[in-house]
Amino acid sequence: MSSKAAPQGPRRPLPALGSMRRVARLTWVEVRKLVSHRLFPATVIITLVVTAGLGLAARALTAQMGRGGAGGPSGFGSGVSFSNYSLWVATSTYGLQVATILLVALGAMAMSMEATGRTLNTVLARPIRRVEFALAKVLALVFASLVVLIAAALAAYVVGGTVQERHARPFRGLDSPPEPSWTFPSYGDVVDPRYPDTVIATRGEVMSEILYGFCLLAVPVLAAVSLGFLLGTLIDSSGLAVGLSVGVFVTLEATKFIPLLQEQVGRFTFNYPMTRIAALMLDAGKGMVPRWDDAVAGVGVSALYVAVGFLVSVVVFCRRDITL
Amino acid sequence: MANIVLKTIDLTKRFGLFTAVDRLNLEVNEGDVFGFLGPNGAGKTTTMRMIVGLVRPTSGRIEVNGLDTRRRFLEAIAQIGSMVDIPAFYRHLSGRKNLALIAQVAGGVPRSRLDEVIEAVGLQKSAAKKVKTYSHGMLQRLAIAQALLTRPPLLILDEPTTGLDPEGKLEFLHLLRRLARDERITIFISSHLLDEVEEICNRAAIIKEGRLLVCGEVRTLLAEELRTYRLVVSDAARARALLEGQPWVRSVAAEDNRVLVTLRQEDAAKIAPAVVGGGIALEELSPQLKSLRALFMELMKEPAHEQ
Repeated sequence: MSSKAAPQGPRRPLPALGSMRRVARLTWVEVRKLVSHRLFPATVIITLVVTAGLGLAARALTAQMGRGGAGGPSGFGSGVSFSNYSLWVATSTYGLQVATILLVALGAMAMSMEATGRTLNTVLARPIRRVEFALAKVLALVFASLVVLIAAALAAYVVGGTVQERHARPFRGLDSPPEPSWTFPSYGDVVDPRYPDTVIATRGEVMSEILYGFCLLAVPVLAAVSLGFLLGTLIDSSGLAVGLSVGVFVTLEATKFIPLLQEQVGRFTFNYPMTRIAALMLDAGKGMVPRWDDAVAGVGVSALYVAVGFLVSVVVFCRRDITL
Repeated sequence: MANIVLKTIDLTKRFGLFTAVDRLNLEVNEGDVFGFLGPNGAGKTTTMRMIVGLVRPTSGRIEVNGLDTRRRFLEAIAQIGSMVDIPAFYRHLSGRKNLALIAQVAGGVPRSRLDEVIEAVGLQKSAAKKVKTYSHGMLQRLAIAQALLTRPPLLILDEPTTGLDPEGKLEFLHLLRRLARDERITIFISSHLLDEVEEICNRAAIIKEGRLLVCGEVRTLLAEELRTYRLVVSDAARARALLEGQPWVRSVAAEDNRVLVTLRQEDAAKIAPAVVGGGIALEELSPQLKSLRALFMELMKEPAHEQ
């Protein structure tokens, strides 16, 4: 008995699969464009320099404490010293806040530079869908943000590792002054300063909590980038888009210096979740179990910004006529 | 019968209340070098942007090799190489790197194709230089190179000679002619410069205020109704005044003892009786080979008619 085979034409790849391939290809192109442009390498270098600089300053302050000094410059507050974990967390988050301004500019330039330079005409008249091009831009920006986040974390990690401080610091003043040295790495278990044999948290536990914190930090950073991307999609002039994005970002961040606004507006800014997450990461560095639930609201608002910012940008970009 | 490579069917684009392109119907056949003529603001660039997918039509359809650009956009657009408006590239990258990026965006372009297109447009010596150091002519060549990357059967060029000096323009037109011949590419070229269309195109369309006025073989367009005749007369001023008074005369110009009169071809036989009957000696009467420019200028004077 013979069975009749259904006639088969040439197999066509699934549209979704083809689209994913194109997005991957375009993302790679966008990453190459990013790397070849001065602003992205400059952002990474500035992040490394600022973070390492802050770390070294904090380390110097800690060394001064170790020698019996009264404390560092007033900017850091007197009597403040850093354990290796706290130095890692504090300097990386400060460095990241500076880098976020540059990332906002990068987000604003992603689309507006293509409009200003009219390269959209050249690229979009190709067999690609607008949505694929816009998604590739978003993914390239996510990549850039993660690179900057990792750069800040690594720079601070290296500097923090040179501080010989293994004690927990929930009980300020009880522990002995830290002893910075150039030995690396010195990250170890967190022990009780009164009972040095008592391990409060193992190195692995602390590390995993802090790394989790870094993952959460990516959300407010991306929220800021999505703001830049949105304005860069709406405004064709790259100069104006960058200026406006950075202006809005800085204005929102400045609310933290105004007590009244801090309460009302603060939690809707990008800085609020960053500060909350950093505080919880510092707790982890002291051997405490961080209450991540405290950061949920801020991270949630940021995640909403990310979703709305990128989604609106993509929709607007896909619907507009390119008449540059 | 030649294949239709590009077809627009009642193509319309409105920006708010302004209608940039109004029910445009065009057919470009395989192997054509098709000139798309019109004054600035006629709707040429908007039409081209709609064809390559940069601008969405308000209504109407576009077909590329029979593929509807709305339903099968990717397949249709893959058949087109384009240069719309001023050529734009990433200025901080070299010409070659720009081509490599665009090739990657398009997908499926072998690396060896970069060398081929660079050679085809004669940019071998400057391909490694950054684009920001390129002259306008070099940018135009690079734009053609990027348009050719995917070996498209249809090339769409929007005012490609704008900004070129006369020598560069001639060189560029020569390049296009060579491409059309050697690579067997159909070229759809817009321009507001008639001489270059006359120079290289076999078919042409003229639009004004978004509406198609004329479309056809350039030779046919040149041979249509209106003709200009040159008269050598004893008194050019009188002859001009006399002819201007005739209802069948479209336009008259006089210089020295010569008069140029434009009229419908069927009215040509009325010239000599009118002039001689007016007491003016007619020494010579000859048809001028009418240029497309004359036709273009005539059409531009007329309001766009309802289709």
